[in-house]
Amino acid sequence: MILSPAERSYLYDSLSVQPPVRPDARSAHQFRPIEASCSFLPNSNGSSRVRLSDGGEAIVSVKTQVVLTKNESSLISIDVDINKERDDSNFIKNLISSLESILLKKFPIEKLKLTERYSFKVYIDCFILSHNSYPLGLLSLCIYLALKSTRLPLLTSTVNDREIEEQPTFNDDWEASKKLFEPSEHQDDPPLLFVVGIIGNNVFIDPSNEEEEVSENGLIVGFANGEIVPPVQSTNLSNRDSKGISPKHILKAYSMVRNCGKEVVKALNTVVSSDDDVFTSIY
Amino acid sequence: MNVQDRRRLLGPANASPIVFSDVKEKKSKKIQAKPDDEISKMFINTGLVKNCDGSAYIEVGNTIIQVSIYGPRPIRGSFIDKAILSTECRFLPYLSQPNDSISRLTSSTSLITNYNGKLNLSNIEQKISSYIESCFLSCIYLENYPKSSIDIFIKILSVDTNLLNLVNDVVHCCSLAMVDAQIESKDLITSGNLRYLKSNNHIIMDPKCKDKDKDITNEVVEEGKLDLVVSFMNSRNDEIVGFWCEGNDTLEDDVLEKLIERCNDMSKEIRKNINFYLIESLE
Repeated sequence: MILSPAERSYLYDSLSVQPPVRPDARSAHQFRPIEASCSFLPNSNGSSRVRLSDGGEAIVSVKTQVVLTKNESSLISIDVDINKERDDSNFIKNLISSLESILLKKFPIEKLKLTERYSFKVYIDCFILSHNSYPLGLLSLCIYLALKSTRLPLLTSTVNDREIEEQPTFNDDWEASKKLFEPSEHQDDPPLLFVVGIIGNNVFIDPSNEEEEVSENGLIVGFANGEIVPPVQSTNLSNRDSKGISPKHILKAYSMVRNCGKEVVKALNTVVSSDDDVFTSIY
Repeated sequence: MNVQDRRRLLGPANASPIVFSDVKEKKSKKIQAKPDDEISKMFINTGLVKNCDGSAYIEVGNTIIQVSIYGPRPIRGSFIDKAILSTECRFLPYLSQPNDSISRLTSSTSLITNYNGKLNLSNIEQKISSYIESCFLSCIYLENYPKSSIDIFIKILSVDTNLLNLVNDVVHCCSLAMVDAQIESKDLITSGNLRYLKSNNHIIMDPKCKDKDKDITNEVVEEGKLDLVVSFMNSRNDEIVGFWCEGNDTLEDDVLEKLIERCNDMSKEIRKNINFYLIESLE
């Protein structure tokens, strides 16, 4: 998107006053409205779709496969596909490595272990149909929903196959399946990544395309269980007029993400529980 | 009765077993572990590569980095009012790249060649490239070079440290090459790198340790570790141009503030040394 100098300066000025005036009249810690649904792909263990008000749309599908544990280097595999974007482009590889870096640390790997020899391998396939702003935030919400709605079939064969080799067998009844992220247990929720834009002294969450264009710098902040977790890193949201930031900005972004994160998690969990009811009533 | 075994190929009757001489393993020179609050020594040199506009070479311990900068050079095509900055980081093909959690999944894909027969950049390489690019975007006066491009090529010749520590050295090498290329910048970028161990509230400055290989189920994750690299423009009010935090622990505000401050101290210390080198090299 190319802004004229006048548009640019208008946006910049209105976003740098105290409090910032955002083009869509949001407050600094407010997300754009999203339309989300999950568990709608019948062939995957968990799935989700999130649509943003600016037309951005992503679909994530989580599939699992039973593998021999010793043959695999990792039990989680993430793939991101964006229309008209090369798979080996810097853009996609950076998205993948940001997502990997947070998911690998906060994943309940022990739940994937089936027996001594076998475990589930989780494939997280993300497809971005369209995006106008930096898609990491959208993708992270989508992955959260997909993982929350992921169900693993119940193992019926023995857990100990150290002496006797045995292929694992599963319960056919999908009602008996177990959730990967069980809400009732004392278990962590999947982690989220938030994108924060910085202009002047202001920080604001979930920048739209126009806001990214004029932002001086950006931060990617990880969030899990009400706390800020690494990776936290600076990123350039636009190639123009980037400036350095101060520690104050980072701390501001922190407290903002910490506050919004809880609200976002609450909202997403409502989506999961409502869609899950529909899902279980069909089957 | 002939007792000779005719089914096997036997050696001559007068054969005697080989005896290896008692060679003692040469003890490799042990590099003395540096104190935790000290910055390791580095060797720097600039202008070694003759056919580029600016180059720098840096050696820290067993880590060797070489950067060459081409530009500002004219580009073909439509008019642009600002220089385009591009960065490419490559490890020598036989090097094992820092085994951070990010690279574990994708180590196999790094060997796929594209249609040019060139190796594609691995995730780690892409990640370093974009960190450096985002640092220098806020630092170079790109508007002074219309219709041109500035290309930074980072070559990692040898690596013996963790990812963020490597990034720290790469930043310094690029800054020096930038000076050698005489590209107009707001300031010289230097950075600081720390490891914070939560268990005993201990800070290691410039940590040189390699990351241990984690096993597949992620069971041997050391608890409470944070790695941080922060890049500054020290003579411009200590503005932060790059920020990257990895680790497996939550980030508290007060800890972060302290860590950024310590990074700044380290960055200033390195800045002094680089300044000294640059003044020396003028004479």
